[in-house]
Amino acid sequence: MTSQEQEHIFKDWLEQYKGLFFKIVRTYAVTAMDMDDLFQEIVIQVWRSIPVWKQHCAVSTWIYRIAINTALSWTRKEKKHRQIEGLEAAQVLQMEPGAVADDRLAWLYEEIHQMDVIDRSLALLLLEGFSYKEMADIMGITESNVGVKINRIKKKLIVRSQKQDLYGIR
Amino acid sequence: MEFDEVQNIWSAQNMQMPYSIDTAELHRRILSKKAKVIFKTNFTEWLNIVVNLGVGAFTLWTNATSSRHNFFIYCLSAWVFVVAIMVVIGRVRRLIAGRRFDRSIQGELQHALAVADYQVKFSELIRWNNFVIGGLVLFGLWEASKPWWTFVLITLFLLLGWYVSGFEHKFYRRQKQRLEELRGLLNA
Repeated sequence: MTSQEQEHIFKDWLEQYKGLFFKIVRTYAVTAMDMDDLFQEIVIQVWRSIPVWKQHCAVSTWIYRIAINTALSWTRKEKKHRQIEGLEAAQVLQMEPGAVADDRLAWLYEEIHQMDVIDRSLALLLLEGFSYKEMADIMGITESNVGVKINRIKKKLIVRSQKQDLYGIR
Repeated sequence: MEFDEVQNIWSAQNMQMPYSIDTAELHRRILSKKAKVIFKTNFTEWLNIVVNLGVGAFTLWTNATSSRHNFFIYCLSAWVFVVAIMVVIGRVRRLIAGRRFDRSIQGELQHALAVADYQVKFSELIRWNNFVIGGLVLFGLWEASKPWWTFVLITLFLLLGWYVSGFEHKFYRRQKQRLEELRGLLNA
């Protein structure tokens, strides 16, 4: 694969799947600086993965696989190192001026942030509509293990939504 | 609230993109980060290889061309060559592993754990390597009947090296511990 082809695919993926990138970034990072840093890490890994991308695998699944792996290793990084890198790089992701804050979505992200990183990844895949089999493939665990974890996540989200006022959700 | 409603809240965000991407800035950052990462890793590895090969070649040459051959300095040359070869092997392994992308989270974690384990062992080995090198140098000095203060200087340098390399070793151990915790969560 030539570098021009790689560049072309990358631009295409970035445009087509940018919503997916935003969701992943928001799932794992809280501050704007961290989101920007994680976004850059993910796109670098996705860009690097293009030459070894297996055509039989759906692009979205491929991107999720790489993005979640990157996010997990990013969360393991020393926080102080991330902040130093983030300081000089908080410019790539820019908030849309007309974006309306959705309280219910903010609540949902907050709940996801409170989960451990593995449950967070599964919650993201669940909400994105992946099947248990696909989740098991991406995570490398058995479908039954996925099932157990997903049930726990669903229950937790339902209970949490019922316990709180949820800024007018109920 | 039922789970379907939670799903609807999530899906609603597909209709609106809260961010835009500055692609020109992104492109610049990618190139700069890529270069930085490659430089950092390559620099450390090449520095280790070149320093060890350099020290090995220098000590071998000075010892071989001197009128009094020093057995311990020959051992030192051989040892640093071995260390250089080990760094080369580590580098080749890292490069091969870096080409594989199609792995699950579990697979990535296992791989990261294997790398972390290698780093912990390697940093431990490098710490003890200070003593091997220091010991060989001290024996070499003793064989060459050097003055006492050279022994003191080498010993102090050795202790300093041991102390500083401890920080690196602790860092790798922490990294490995975090990975093990993550594996615990995944398999729970």
